[in-house]
Amino acid sequence: MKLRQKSFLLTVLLMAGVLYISTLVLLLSNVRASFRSTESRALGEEKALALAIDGMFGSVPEQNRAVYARGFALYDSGGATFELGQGGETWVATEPIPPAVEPGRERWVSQNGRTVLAISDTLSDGVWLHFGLDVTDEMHRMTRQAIGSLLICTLLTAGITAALYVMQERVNRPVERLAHELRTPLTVIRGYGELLERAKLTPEQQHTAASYIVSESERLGEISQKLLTMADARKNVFRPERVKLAELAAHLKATYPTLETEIKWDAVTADRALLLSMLGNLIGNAVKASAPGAPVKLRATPGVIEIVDTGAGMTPEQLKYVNDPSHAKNPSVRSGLGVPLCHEIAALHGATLHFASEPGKGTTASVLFTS
Amino acid sequence: MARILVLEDEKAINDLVALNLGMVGHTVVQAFTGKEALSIAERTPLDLLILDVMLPDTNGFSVYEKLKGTPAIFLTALGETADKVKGFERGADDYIVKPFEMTELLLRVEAVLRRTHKSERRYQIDDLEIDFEAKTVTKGGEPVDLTLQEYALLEVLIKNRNIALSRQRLMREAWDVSFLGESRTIDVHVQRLRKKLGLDDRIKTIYRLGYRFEEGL
Repeated sequence: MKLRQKSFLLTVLLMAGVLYISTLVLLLSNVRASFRSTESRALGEEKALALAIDGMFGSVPEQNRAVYARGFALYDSGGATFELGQGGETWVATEPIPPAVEPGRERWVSQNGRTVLAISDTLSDGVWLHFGLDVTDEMHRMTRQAIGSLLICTLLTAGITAALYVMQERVNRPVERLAHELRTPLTVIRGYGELLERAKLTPEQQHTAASYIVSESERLGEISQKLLTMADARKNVFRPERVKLAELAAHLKATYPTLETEIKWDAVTADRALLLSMLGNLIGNAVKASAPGAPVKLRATPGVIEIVDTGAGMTPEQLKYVNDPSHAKNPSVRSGLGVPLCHEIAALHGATLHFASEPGKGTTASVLFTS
Repeated sequence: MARILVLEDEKAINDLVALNLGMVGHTVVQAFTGKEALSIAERTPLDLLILDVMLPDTNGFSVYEKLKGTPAIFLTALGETADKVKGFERGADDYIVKPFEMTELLLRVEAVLRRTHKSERRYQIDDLEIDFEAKTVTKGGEPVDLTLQEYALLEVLIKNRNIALSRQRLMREAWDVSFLGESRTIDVHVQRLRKKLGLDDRIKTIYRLGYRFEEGL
């Protein structure tokens, strides 16, 4: 595993760990508080009932108590039920009859699929009270809360992981691609150099070898140029200014004589050097794709700069790559000159770069400035 | 002489490998896509595949899988360690990392061919005939008596014909010794080979480099 992947994995694990642990701690304390408040509510209700019973029995002769007790059958308080009696005799009970538990010790008991908080109490003269509060809904609420929290936590982890991944890919991909791109010219230059040095070649073979060395050296030069510009873009050497497009077009026309310009946009706010580098790259590609001497058009209308050629065009795979180079896994799809860099420069300007192309008909590169 | 398929999408590298293999006497077929390679393999028998790992339409491994049975050497890019391991797991015969030295590639090719008994069995030039299996040399039909060292040197020179090899390389490949310094011993043995076999014109001294066995004069 590469070091980068390792450190990424570690970051994600750490982040997920912190997120989950803090959620669990929060959840636990929340549940505890919930339990406490439910318990104190049940205890309060039970005490009130016990006091009421005790208070009334104080003024009722003992033999009449059973009859009076039946009066409490009307008692109703938020899902609470009770059973009241003396010794082995039950005077009154409301459905569902709560289970008997050890006096003074409240219990969470499951009864017919419901959860009941059961409290037993002994009143004066051997009168007992079994009290039960249905807390099923509270239990459900707490479960829902726990599941919800963990779900949110998981979603959050996934979201942050994805964001982190995209970020690190954005930083590393172009550099990795360039490093990869270095290998071909290096192999070619070394190989043909060796061949020239060691083998007995015909003049044609010598010429082929030499021209491969020259063209691949040029490629090395291009790659080093790309690296430099990319490093600049990364360091945020970004100095936006008002750039007059007509002026820019004249400058580009001096470098690319086949360029035809059609400027209907006065000025754009951009980094002059970067914008020039991007347009130069795009025009260079267009010129390369076109027949020698064929015109390439630079068109600027408010918000859009387009480079149109009538050259070879691109295959769907090439088009897919140039439109989204960061997602193309296969670096052997040749991109021409610095397309990933152009995307990067466009992004720096809050613009997007899009290519439309048809094989044999030509390519249009559009830079769309959104702001 | 083996029939070798080179599958590599970079034309410059493909041409380079093909040129080198052709130089030492192999028959080379070039392919630039996996599809092309498979259709070539259908038509012609092949002794060895040289496969680039990263291809536009597929990768070298899947081509290797489809041509199961043909030995292969993979060209992998620097740092693709995962690919290396994968290549070996699937039974690649060898791999070489880009950027690579051409003589190194030729060496690996020869090693694989020897293992699969597809390497050159005999070689004939002028009135000279070398039987690489029996390790005998005849000149004009008459056997020539060569020492083991002389024979090994001759074999390496011929197997890498048309390409100059340094004295160090010759010592390492022919005699399996690699020490710096006394590589002039090679000179003595080359002199003897030239004299015994009349190869003055064939074994050329390449200034500052070493020796080269030249096929075409």
